[in-house]
Amino acid sequence: MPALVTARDLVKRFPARGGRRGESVVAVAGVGVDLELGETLGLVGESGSGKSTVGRLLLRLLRPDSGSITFDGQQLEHLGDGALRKLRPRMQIIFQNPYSALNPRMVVEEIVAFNLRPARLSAKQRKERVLATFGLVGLGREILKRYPHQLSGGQAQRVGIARALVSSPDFIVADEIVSALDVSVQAEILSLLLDLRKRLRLTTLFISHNLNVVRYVSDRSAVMYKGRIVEMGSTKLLYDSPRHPYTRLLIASVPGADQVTSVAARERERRELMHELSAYPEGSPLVEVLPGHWVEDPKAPAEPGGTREPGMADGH
Amino acid sequence: MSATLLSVENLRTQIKGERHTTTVVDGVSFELGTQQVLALIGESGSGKTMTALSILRLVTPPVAINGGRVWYQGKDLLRLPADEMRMLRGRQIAMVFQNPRDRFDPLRTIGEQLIEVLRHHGVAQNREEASRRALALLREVQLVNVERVMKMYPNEVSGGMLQRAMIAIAIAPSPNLLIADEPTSALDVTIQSEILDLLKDIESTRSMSILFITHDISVARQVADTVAVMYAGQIVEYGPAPRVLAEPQHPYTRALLASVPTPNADVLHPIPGLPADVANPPPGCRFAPRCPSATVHGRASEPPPWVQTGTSGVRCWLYAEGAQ
Repeated sequence: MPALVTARDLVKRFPARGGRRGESVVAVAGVGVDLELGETLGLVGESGSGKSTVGRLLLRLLRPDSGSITFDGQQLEHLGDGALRKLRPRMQIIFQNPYSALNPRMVVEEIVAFNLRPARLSAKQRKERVLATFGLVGLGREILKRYPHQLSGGQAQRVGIARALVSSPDFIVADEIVSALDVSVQAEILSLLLDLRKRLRLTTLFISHNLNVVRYVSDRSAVMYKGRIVEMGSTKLLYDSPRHPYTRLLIASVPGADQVTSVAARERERRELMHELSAYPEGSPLVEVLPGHWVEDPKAPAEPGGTREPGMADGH
Repeated sequence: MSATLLSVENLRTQIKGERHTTTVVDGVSFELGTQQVLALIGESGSGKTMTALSILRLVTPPVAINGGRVWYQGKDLLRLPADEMRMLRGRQIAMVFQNPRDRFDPLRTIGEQLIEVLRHHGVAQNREEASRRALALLREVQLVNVERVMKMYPNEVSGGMLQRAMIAIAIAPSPNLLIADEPTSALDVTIQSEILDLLKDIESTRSMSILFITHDISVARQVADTVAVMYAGQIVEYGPAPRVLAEPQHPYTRALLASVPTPNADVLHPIPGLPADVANPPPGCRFAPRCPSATVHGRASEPPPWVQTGTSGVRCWLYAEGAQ
């Protein structure tokens, strides 16, 4: 399978909040990923790990300080605003909080049709496209003239998804799209996402802090820690036999996963993993331990030049 | 079963609007034993936080408690004189909230705030003793470098550390009951797991009881001895946590469990429809419009009975006498 989106050695720094002039924090410290056509890659990690920044870099909503991004054969890292604007309909994002992500002064129809402006369609064609997308995400035309605050949480997130899909994108970044929703609504949106993936052959970067959610929707998963991907592989492998101490810590921390473990045993396991993690050298190269399963390995010899390039799509 | 510490009977809390009154807590009853954790599970708007605030009588107009009893150590808290209630709040029943950053004074150090609480509740007679106790409390909540933490301002520590400090403040006067309202929902999963286990530790070392409010069934699974599932202002199922979570009886509890992704879930089953509007609840069973069993028993338009079996209870026609 060819990769639709490829990133190599992405680095992004932000000015440090409250810091001196010129001081910066490294949000993304050398990330390489490939997204194959039609796959969903889950990106997990705690807040501040850099996962949202990676999503915004891949879409070129942010410009990387260094590194390369390829979308469908086109280099994005130096692309100007005009050229990017032409690509926007093909690369879209869905946000966490549907209410704050939808313009409160527009009705649903305007919100969804907004992304069709570059397509220069007639009003009738526009409406048809909006309604077709509504069908896809399970929204009824009765909400066309409603404002965001008149929608339920599930409806609002469907509108967010419809807005992203109306321009028939190839690549979607879904950033914590169920985290603000009640569990019953969350299931509805996750099921919709799986259904859309089957029907549209969407390539998706699914960002979430919730491991169970990522496990449910993604083919492959990558774990981010302190701005780096420390482990990446098929979701099943990653969850069943995690290697990196941080991945193991994350999985051991999923609430209610293991009812038989005593509090003391869990605390001991966590302490041991934290200890192992603190002793683990940061920034080691990713090594392929099993076909398609990459782990940051301090014992691997550092290759000259860029070492953090998994090259997932090529080779197998 | 341990001795009962808190017994809530038929609690009823309403919001008085201009045109009509909304019942947000509608006949809630449950018992919490000594050194037990009861998880109140529900989605947003189900009334779980209102239940907690009503127990502490922390509701203000237009919200008002309009019925029921809250027995705590032989006293009905709803009928206690205001000054006695004030003495009890914080000292015997403490509370921990979702976002500790909103609860600390940003302009004073964590140590100062901890010491103030200790002095206010008369736990420490002088500053030296208070300071010594404060350090011990910070160690008890498993913070390290406690001398340094004492001198830090809330914005200088992480969310996890601040939540630990808030727990230290809550347990400072040695309360018998801790009400924890979504205490880990804003935290990263690794920190969440630590805080949950910390609460379990404190529960057993201090023989404290915890009323744990959460929207997250997995979290309840990790901490709770007993669970109460709320829907649209009412408890729909109540019982020992292992039983309720393994063999849920109420169709809503079942639906809720089937809608949460777990390591073993292959398919998720969303709950059809929308949560009941408490301002305008459906007549009879509130879950009926979304319930797959409503057509089976055919009595959805009548309020379902509370069916108690041993330590478990369920509000559903399916389990009523004579039902199949």
